[in-house]
Amino acid sequence: MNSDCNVQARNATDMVILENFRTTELDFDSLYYQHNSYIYNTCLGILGNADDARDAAQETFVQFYKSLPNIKKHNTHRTWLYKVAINKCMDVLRKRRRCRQIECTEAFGDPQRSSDDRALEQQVRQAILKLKPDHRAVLVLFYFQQLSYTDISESLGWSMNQVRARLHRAKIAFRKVYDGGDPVEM
Amino acid sequence: MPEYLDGRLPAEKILQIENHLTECAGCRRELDAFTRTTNALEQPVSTFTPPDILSAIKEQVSCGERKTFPAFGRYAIAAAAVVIVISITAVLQTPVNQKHSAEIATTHEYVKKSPVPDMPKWEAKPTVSTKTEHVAKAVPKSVVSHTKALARKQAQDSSNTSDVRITIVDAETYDAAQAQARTRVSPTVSPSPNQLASEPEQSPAIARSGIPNPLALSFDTYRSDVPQTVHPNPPFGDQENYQR
Repeated sequence: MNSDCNVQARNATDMVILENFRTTELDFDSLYYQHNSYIYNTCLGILGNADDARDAAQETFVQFYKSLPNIKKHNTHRTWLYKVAINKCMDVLRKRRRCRQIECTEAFGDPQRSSDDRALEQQVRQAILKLKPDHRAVLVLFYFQQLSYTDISESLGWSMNQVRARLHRAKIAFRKVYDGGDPVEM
Repeated sequence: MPEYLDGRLPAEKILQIENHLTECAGCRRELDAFTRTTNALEQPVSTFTPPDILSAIKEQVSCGERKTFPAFGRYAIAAAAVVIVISITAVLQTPVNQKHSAEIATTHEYVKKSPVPDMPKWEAKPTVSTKTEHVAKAVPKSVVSHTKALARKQAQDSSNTSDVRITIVDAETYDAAQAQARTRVSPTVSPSPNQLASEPEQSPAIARSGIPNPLALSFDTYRSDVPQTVHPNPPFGDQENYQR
């Protein structure tokens, strides 16, 4: 009798665990397909290299998978992912700087667009890649990902005033580089 | 300027800025440059199709759960560090090392004539502080031997004695010896004859170091100089004994 109760209790526990696991898996898969493109393109904009962007995105989603049961609010998934992705990108940039790696840059631009537009996009992306990491991040999030000040504030952990000020400084730095100035020292 | 370009200013401010821009060429140039930059940034950018990394993510998650080495590695490194620290401390605590450290402890030197008559034997056991050991490691042996040779030569030249013994003491001991020597040869303070006959007062630092008395030279010099020193009013003791 006692052993039957134990078996039933164990089965019930297993069912709960299995159900939680299935929920997590399903949640994760849907969230992955929903956010993968944003995260990958953000990483690509900051790092300028497809392989590094893929690795950073993968690391981001691995961390997301592990933390998924602890993230309660579903509306924070996106900013949470951006936050982790930016941190992963910063890690890659720090590693590159430590290893004195030369930054490889992809040939950007959609082939379906006109050559002038592609050239302009290439120029803009190359200029951003010469900026400091936090300037890159704020410009990519604001202009490429079209995030609002509030979302950037949540993603980068800055106050609204900090976001405004740093965006302004990032634009000034971008202008210097875009107009043919020297790359900004990181 | 950014607020103006973003259209986040009230109409009154916008009017003021536009009036100013009609008059100021420098601000117009600045505005043009800013507009060009903002336009470039606001151009639509390509969205790249991401690689499908879902299976790679799940594989990494499942592999990561099985990995236990990093946590173990941290503990192993901490344990190894503790063992190394204990070993180094044990080696440094051995008497041989302490004596060796005391010998090469400093760049200060002390020259002493030998043989020294009536020198008391110091019985203090050598103990060297951690600071001294640290300094001892910092002084190369070549510097110590060169300094010893130089001091020996100077002592031989000045005293015409071939038998010269060089003792190297640490900075603390040297300073204590100097201070004590200064006190003893000071013309304003004269010691009693009893004090002259007895051994010189030993500083705690010298006692700790366990090396031969570095005050021997000043002590001898003082005793040989005593008859030449004239003290009209010796502060203590009778004058006859004092001048003897």
